[in-house]
Amino acid sequence: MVSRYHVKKLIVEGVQDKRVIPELIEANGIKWGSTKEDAIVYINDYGNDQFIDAESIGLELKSSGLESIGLVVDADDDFSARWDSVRNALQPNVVTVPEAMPVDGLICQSSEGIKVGVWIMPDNKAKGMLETFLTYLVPDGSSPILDWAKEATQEAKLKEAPFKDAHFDKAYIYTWLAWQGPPGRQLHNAVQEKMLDSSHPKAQSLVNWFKKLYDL
Amino acid sequence: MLQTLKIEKFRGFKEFKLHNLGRLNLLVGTNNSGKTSILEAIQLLRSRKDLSVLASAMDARGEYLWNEQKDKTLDIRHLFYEHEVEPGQSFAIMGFTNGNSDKITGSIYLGKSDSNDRQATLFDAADSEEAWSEPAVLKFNLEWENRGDVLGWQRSLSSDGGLRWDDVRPLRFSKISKIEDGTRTQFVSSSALQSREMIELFDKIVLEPEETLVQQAIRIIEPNIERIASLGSRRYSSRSREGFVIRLSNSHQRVPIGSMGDGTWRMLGLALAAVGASGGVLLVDEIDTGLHFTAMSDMWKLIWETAKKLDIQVFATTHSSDCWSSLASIASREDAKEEGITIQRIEKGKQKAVAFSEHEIVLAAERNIEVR
Repeated sequence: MVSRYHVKKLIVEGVQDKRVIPELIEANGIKWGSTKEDAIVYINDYGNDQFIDAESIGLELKSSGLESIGLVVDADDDFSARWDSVRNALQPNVVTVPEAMPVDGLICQSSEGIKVGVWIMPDNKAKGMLETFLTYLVPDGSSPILDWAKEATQEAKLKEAPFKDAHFDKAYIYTWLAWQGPPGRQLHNAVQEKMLDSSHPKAQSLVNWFKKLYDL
Repeated sequence: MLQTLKIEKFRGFKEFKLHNLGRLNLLVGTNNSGKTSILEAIQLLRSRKDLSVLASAMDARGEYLWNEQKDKTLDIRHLFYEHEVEPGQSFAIMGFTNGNSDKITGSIYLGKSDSNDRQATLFDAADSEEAWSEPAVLKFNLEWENRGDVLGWQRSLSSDGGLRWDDVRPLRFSKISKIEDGTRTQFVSSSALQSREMIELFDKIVLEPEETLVQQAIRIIEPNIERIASLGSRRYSSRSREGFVIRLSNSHQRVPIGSMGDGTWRMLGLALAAVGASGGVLLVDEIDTGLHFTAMSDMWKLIWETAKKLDIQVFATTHSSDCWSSLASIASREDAKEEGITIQRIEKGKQKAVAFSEHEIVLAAERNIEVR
């Protein structure tokens, strides 16, 4: 049961996005809140990318008391195909959708004046996913290890490691995390414990989109 | 069945529209958003000169005055968006069904006093050009338009600007208030129906097929109820729950219905009102009142089945989360899409309601999207 409206809402694909994004925001000096209900933004992990759909977005926009809604989705293998699907889903619901995805994230408005934001992982132009975005945040000092993690992942794939090609960047970042101190931290812990650099320009771009969307 | 309802300058609404109405419509919105006013608007639209409904709705809101002659008058200012009675003031309520429309207009104008006015109110016309002519009084005009037919009704207002109670009592219209079948309207307020109304309704259906519906309804709350009977027509006070007895399957004694909980009384009232609205409209304010959340799905099921069977269009209001989310359990049924189940959110200052279709109700409940 809901005791108050979700004025600011963020829909993400999976539980990793749901854990990482708040850490990234907190690492940039914005208090997230300690419970789900008092968080500055209510996050819903959808479990898949089916929320990129005109009817779903239309329904979300009817939600009572809503002022701004953000959608974070992975580009996966084909950025332009993803952008097309995002455009089609937004078209009936927002006033104007630009021809091209802005690299610093999209923010537009519904006809009722609700702010609608979209961020396509990793950086609104490349193919990839949350994990791709996180490889950008590896501090420069670790780069030789990062390169080695990439080679090792490629090598493992040649040796028929069972992970899917599409999940290469996941295998790659977890390989790198396996060699940190302490080894094998989870993605959001790595952000929280500063193994990953939240002040990196790529991280700042996401944080700025987030602040602008939710007026923080 | 109403598909669209349009309201102009009636109560808190300057201009408001409800679209895509279905057989069952649940109105949600914050306190004071105007949910009850919409029920009243529908009731007035369908009243066809039986103004007793308006009178009791206004009475329940405490919108009456006592004029200098110690007569009770309805304070009709509140029906108007501007909360004033001045010449030229008006409101309108329109209903649309398959290209046909129904309309009621209420307006205030200056006119000659009626011969049947017991107390004609002098309007201060000293400054106007008509100062020399017959004194003018403020009059309230209601006009119903239905497929070309027009019905009009006018009364002079009392000196306090109120509408005399005697002018709206149902008896005054005994000749014309014979409401034809198919236009029956039942209004269940949040405080439920009164004993007298319930006994009247019950006596009409006793030993008729509809009696089974009523029994099913109260068994939702208390499965052990075997029979229910009314106790005749002696006068019951308006507050208490009297006039009905029940027999429980595990007892040989009859039990006054007042001994059962709020839920039984509420369900009995809902079922009787539904049966009484056969072929017409059922309006229920705060439909969840007195019902535990576990009874809510069964209540909707009963209302839905009855509405379909007896061709009733239902408009109900709620504040409860359990109430709307349990509606999702019937909104996912095949027949819901055919007949229409909607949630309509009423928001102050907006020009139209936010409407949720059957499919959207189901998704919103699944995805924890707040419709209220």
